[in-house]
Amino acid sequence: MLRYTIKRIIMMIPVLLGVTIILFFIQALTPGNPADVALGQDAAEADKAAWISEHGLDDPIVVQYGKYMYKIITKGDFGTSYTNGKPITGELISHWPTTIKLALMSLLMACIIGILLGILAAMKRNTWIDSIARVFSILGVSMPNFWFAMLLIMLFSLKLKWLPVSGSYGPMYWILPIATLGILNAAGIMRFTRAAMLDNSQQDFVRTARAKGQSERMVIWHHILGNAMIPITTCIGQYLIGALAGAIIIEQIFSLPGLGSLMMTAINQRDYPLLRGSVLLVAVSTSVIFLLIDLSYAAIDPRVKARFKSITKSGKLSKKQVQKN
Amino acid sequence: MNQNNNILSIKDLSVHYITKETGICKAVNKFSLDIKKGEAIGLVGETGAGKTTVALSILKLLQTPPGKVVSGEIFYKGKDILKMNNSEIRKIRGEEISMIFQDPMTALNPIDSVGKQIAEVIYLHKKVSKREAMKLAADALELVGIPKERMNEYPNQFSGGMKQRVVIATALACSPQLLLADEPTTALDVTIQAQVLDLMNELKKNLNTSLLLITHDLGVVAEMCDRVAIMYAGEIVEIGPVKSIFRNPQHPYTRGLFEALPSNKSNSKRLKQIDGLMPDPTNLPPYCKFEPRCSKGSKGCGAQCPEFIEVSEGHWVRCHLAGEKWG
Repeated sequence: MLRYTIKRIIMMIPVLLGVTIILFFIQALTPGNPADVALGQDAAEADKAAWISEHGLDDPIVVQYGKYMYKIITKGDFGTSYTNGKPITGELISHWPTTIKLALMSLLMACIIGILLGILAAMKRNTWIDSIARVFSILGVSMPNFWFAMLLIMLFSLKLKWLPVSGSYGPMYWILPIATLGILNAAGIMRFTRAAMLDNSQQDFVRTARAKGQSERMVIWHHILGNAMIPITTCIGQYLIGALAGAIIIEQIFSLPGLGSLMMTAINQRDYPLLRGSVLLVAVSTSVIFLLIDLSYAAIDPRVKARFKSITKSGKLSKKQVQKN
Repeated sequence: MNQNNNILSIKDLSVHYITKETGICKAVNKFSLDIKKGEAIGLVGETGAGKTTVALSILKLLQTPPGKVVSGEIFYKGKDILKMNNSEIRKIRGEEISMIFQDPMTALNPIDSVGKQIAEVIYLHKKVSKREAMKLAADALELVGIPKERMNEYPNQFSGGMKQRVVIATALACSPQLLLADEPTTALDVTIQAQVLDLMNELKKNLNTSLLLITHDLGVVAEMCDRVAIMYAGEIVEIGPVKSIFRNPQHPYTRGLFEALPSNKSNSKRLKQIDGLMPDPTNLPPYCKFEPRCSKGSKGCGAQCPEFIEVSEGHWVRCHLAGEKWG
């Protein structure tokens, strides 16, 4: 397991290198001059040129890339922001927790609601409970998150005046953003859970468990859900990535100081180092999430665990595994 | 027949599968069968005859919907299983009546170790700790010829024959009074079949377990059973001691089954077959169910349902022509 994890972490390096290269090329293709934004449209051409060369933007793109990577690798320095001159690393560290907190809290909420509702819908199949759950899932999957956020604000902030509209001044300000993403993602997780539960409840081993005299509660929670967790985990992983992206949008609506607002500022200000840093951070987070999903498979499914072990032992699938597959 | 000798007594069991698409599928019709203590009965019939449905009904494991017991009673030690509530039937499942399922590949839970799966049934019924249950599970594994060192391995690490042995070990772990074996050897190749049958025979002798063996292999029946019941379209058409039926099959369907067996004596290149298909269970004829395929049928066969006739001691057949000598 440990060797597999290390191997996967090493494999992240080329992925992240790829991300930096793509970012640099997009930057080169993007219209607009950062000096215009930094100094204003009316600044003298000479000042603009000086600003450009000061920030190394007149070098060929390959040289710029080389310098950027050299700084990161030797000093861990991601450059400084064009707009406020602060180091990027500090900016990221101060903004990243907000986004992660929003993403994780909303995902937690989505998992609890989604999985419980999915189990309930599957066990009460073709009843009114199931119908309501299915309508909820279709609504949740098809509703854009920013629009749902608006609806929640209109109801709970403007009409009922229970919760603040936006800002970040305490726990009350977190409820609506988390609920927005949590409820919408719950709909998708519920659909998956329901399907996986129904699929597994038809399996022969469930009948075997009942034939042993096992209680219905254990049949559902251990035998059916235990196996259903394999597809549900995939789904949760997808939603965690989605929640990260969703958090970036939702932060804007609720004025939470997270990566999303940082990225929007960076885009508007043509603040290339800041943008690169934030995108890179999102890429790292995504890769780590993928790794965590794959590792959690091994915890749930002994077949996957066996395969991981054989992969890391021989570098590829062992003969026994190939025969079995 | 002496009532007290019967460990299980099925009376007039009818089971229907009801779906919107196909309507009412009459899987089991007026099925009656008595199983004595320590007796092994073979239940033989082609695919779709309702054999598995009978076994599942005994444990109340029918999936409802679509399955529904329409009528009948199943007495186990004098109590009607069909009237039991969930907690009563759960005490019987696995401890007093256990079942070996058809397909060992899917009958085991892929995420639990085999030891845990055997221990599960022990823990549920015996008053032991989880650790003791694991010890007893290890013994059960040894009993079916799997070294106990492998008890922490998962089903995917076992071959088909070994999985079937695990299933058997699970079924026998609590020394049940009655074992329902649903085609226990169908998924296995011949050498492992022999091993599994030997194993079941041995355990049956040692534990004095009654056995309902569902199969479509008449060879297995000859090897294992005291009595055999031939099932066709949800009802028993012939039942009797194995010797009597093998020597003197009376029902045209039973005869057809025996004639379809490959034989060393005949020189014909093709196997004999019974022409036609089993009647559609959603639309069963009100008369003899075998009439459309029967080569011996007379005019009376299409008019009414035949009753059981006893042709020799304990050998009953459901055919209008029973007892007549055929050429």
